[in-house]
Amino acid sequence: MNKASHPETATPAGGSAATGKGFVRRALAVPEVGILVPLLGLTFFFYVLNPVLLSGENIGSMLRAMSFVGVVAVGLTLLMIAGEIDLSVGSVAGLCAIVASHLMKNAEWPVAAALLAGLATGGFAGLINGLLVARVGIPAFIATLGMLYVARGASFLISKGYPLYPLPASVQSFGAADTLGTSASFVIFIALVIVADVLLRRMVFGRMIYATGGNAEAARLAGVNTVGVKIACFVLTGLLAALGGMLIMARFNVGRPETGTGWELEVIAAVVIGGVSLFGGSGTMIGTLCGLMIMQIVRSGLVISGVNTHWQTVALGVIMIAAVGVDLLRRRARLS
Amino acid sequence: MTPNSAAPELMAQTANHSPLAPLLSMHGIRKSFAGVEVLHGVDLTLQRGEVLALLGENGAGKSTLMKILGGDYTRDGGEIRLDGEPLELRSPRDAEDAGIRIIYQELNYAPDLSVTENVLMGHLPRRSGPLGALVINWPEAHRRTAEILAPLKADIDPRQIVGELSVGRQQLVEIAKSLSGKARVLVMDEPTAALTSREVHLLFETIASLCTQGVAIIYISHRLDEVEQVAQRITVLRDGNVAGDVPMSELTRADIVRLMVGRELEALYPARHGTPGEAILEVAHLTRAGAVEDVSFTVRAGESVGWYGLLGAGQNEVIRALLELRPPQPGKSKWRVRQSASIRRAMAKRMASAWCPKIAKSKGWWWACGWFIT
Repeated sequence: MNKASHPETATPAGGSAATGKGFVRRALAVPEVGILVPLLGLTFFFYVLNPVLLSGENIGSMLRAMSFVGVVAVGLTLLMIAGEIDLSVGSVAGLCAIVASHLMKNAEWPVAAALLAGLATGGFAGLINGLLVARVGIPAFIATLGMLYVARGASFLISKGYPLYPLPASVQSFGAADTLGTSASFVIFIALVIVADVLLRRMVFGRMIYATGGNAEAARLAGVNTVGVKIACFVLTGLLAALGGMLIMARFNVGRPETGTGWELEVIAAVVIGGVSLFGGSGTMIGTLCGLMIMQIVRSGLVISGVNTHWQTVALGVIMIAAVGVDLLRRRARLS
Repeated sequence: MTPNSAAPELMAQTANHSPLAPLLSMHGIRKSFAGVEVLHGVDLTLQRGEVLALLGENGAGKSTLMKILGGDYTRDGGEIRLDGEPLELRSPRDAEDAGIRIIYQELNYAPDLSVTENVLMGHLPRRSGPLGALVINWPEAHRRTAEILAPLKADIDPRQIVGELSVGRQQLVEIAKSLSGKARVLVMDEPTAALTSREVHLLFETIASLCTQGVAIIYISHRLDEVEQVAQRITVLRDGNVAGDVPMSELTRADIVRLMVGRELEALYPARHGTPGEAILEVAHLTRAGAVEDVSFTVRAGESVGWYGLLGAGQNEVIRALLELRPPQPGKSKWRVRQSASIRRAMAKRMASAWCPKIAKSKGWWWACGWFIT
């Protein structure tokens, strides 16, 4: 692929933006810096505290751990750039894992068919979300909050509240496989990140997502089908939530009705830390990847430093607020 | 009527009319909102290469008419013909495909995206080859944008983020956007609101060169001097009706105003009454970081003070800084009202109610700013 074809939309073009307003301000104006500095800083900090952080084994387990939520974050990145949000991703992930494991275990469907049905469930939930938000006009916050409850309730209804296991051998061996030193989930996750990154930067559909999130009215007047773009992003988010849920199901060889509880907040935090604007129209896939890594480094770093696990939760909250604060500073630095 | 019998008739009609037919004709256009008719059968014609000024007071129906032409609203009645052929406009896309471009008054850009993306939004060039239709050709996109921007001599880098440009340049980007395709009819709604006089001059040059290429322009503005300069014909709307459709050369400015308002105005501006009294508000070196720097002025009793400046020049920020009534930043600014603190508060209330907030982008008050009625 041609290197020169970078859109360069994410980085202010060359010197024009840097009009001598002090180094810090200029540095803040480059979006990636806002994410990389804390990522490297935190990595260094926890590494000094305990070098185990960057041992091969721990890196492998960190990468494995972030891939489930990571897959979902890929979808939510697209959706949030389009200017919408989906709070139902966690419970949709749980529902899809339950649908798939129920079909393959209790209904004895072939594994592939059960997995497809799981994906279809996620896509369908996404479609409903999309129609409610983009067509009917219910605010995404409400529509997808409703979906969160519906999907969670449905998973408990289908599973009758019990975990479904053991799953067929093929699922088990896929989940336990040590692909490229980590897991098949991680490979899938990274592949999706690359696809989404190319989609966002170079593909027509990707730029339609930015246009829709950046100014829906302008995009509509320019002939972009903004309703269609939003619905497509909701469907993709639903599909990827399903994938995330089924990957964790395969990993632990069990379909749990509570799978994905709290994922929505983790995913939104990662995406926001990664620099996706809450108002849509800006953000990058690489940013989200950094956001996920920051969350994982903090979590893993605190664990191996022996800090009470609840401090992780506190720390992640602080980081998220700080990330949005930096984002605001960056925007202000750019505007003035 | 069977298609067979209709076809020759239709062809004969177009053959007859086409050379003479205006580029665009809107006939008997009606539109109601919630049962209230706002356009009562409006006619508008546009010849090739012509600049038509569309005038009227706020609420006369100009914007509604243009939104119908842009495919944003659908008409309730009447017909639109382009080159003598009936034209159905169901969506902005339809209008665009017909070569009708509207530069809306509001700045409709995506602030986080580059100039290129805003200018070519929805039309980014694609690559060739298999799957090429899915992939954007960025070098080509930037090149094409530079080409479109060139006649505007705006010195804008296509890669720049639009949110980082000055308001005037953002408006030029908006104009460039409408030039990106094969425009045949171009509607400009208050295009000069935020432009400097040099930029206005360049815009008029662009308009002239577009007209020689046969593009027709509908120019909406409240600045009559600009209208006189740029338009060959004027259509005036008043309360949803056409009040006049006259060649520019046959009109004086007073005629135009009379057509717009519907009655004789004794004077374009009413006489000022009274003599200003003592100073009741003195502001000296008002400064607020990032918004207002070293602003001083005095308002006297019985006086109205108007603020004037380009969009984004800081008029609103001054008022806002005053209304916040915070203690001035030490050493930098001081402002005082000559009465006691309680009167000062009452004053703030009065100022707040007298302050016409700049809903400028939607209301077209590009100049508005603040009035103290004391």
